[in-house]
Amino acid sequence: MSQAVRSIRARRLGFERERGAVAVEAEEGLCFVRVPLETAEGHEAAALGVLRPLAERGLCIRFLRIFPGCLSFLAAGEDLPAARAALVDAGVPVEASVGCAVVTVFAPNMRSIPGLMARMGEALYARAIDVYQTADSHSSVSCVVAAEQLADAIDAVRGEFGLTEEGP
Amino acid sequence: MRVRVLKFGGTSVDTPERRQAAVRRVVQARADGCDPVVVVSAIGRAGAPYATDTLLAELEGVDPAATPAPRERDLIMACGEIISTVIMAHTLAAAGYPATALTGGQAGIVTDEVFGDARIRSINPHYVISTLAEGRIPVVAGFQGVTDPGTGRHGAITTLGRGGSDTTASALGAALRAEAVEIYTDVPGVMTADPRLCPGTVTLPRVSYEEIAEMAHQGAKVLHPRAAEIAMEYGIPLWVKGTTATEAGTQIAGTAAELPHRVTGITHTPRVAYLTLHLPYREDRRRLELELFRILARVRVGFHLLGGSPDAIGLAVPRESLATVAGLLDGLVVPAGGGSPHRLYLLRVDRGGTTFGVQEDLLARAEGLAEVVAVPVQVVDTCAVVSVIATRMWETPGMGVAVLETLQDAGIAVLQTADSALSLSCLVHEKDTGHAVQALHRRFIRQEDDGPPAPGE
Repeated sequence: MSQAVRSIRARRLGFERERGAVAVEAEEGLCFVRVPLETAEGHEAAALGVLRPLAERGLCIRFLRIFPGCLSFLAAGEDLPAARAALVDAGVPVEASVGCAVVTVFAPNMRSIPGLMARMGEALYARAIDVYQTADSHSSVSCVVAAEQLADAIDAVRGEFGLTEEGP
Repeated sequence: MRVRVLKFGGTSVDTPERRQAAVRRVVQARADGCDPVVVVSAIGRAGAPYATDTLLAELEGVDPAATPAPRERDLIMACGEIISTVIMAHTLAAAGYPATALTGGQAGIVTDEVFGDARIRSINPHYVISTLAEGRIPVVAGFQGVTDPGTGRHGAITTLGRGGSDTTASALGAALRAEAVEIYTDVPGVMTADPRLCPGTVTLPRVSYEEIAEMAHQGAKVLHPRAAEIAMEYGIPLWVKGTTATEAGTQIAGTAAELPHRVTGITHTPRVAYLTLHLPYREDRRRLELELFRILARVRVGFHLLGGSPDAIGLAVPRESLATVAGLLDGLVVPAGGGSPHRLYLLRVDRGGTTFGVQEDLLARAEGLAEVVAVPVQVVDTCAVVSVIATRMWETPGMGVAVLETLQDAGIAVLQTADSALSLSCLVHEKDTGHAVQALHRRFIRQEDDGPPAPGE
């Protein structure tokens, strides 16, 4: 779907990993799509009207956020024309940002580390880097940023979490 | 030496009958030609006389206004496991299997000095090995270690935080190069959903380390991710088994990347509160979002499902933290905007206290110097997060449609969604939790009672 451009990892200091961030990874070649949802019919039904055409064309999406009045997702840049065509055919207005990237901080067991998102957000905000969307998993926090700001974003996050060692 | 580590949770050692069942598991390990190393949690759950929470309540009851010192707090919290260790070792001995009870420190577990949430730095298992060499069964207290005896803390007892006994078992398994670590509990293995909520759940025969970690992250009461991570790093096969169950249990091994797409299970996180901030000016969204992160980090509250639109921010927090969060947000003033006059956002929580009114009156005096903009914060305090755990979630078209259609067909409102490479989560009203889990389980795991085999079968 996209390519990892860089991976930066922290040194393992003990039997268990250090608390907090242990690695940063970045991907680019993505696009961020936002669709306004008509709420008169209920936002779930409106969301299905957006998601079905994408699924029918076999398009993979991620960072899916369904929210009253708005649906957004991330897709591979090369899939944007097909996604746009599917949605336009379905009568869905599309607002797409091309040239997006994802910067991800890996932190094992991140649920037990409140403040990770705050530190990442703070570091990006201090460099005036706009964050389109965020996501988290058991071991990571990710932010969608403009690809042109990716290098700056990686630098900011590396500095914030003290990650200096280049990974394999 | 073929070592097998067997960890028994609090409910597996809380009655003589269950301890006998645990003994049978240890004896079986020997019969299989292994050297068993036992790890135990404190006996019983909250309310039981030697449960960790009970001991802690005793200490905190000395003076509710005085916070116990972290070092002493860890010392008393570690007692439950030590008591359990002695009881279990004696139970084994009485059954004819000589055993030696060991504290975490005696088992060689050295941690950092973060009391209450220590990380294991090293394990020197000489005493464990020599105990095995004598033909005795080491019974090690879970959830604890000691600081480096050479430092200023002089080998103080530390506790490992949530999931600590699982972590002890996994780490000992790694240090002893065990052929397996078996986590015994009161369910027969890792289930496809919470059986109390969903009929027809099945035991997963095998899951990857990442799947189990994501299941725990999304609310399943299974193996702690720290234990899974250590096992993954050191290549130790983990098992989750029922102490009294006859089934083989669940093997945790391999990585999610090796697996094709499959839905692993349906999890839920109950007792969640949902906050929505409505923003009058889009350009200051990031500024407000950041302030929200800072506030939550300051009170150490984790959040779920961050999302929204250009005009709103939505997120969920544990309901137990809602009073704290609402108290901090109501009346919060966030300066923003570079223009003149400056913009001051004033947050108003819809069921907050009196702070907003007080702040509003005070800020009225700043008229002309700043534009004061009220930001309503809506609260829905009875929510739950229901998650579909699946491998290759992002590489499988149509997962969002399938989940949303299932919930819509079941008449369940979805307030917000979020996803990761291994999960798709929906925020629903708490009253719909069971219904949502059942509907998703029927759709993805068992279409009917005698439906297709469970993932991994």
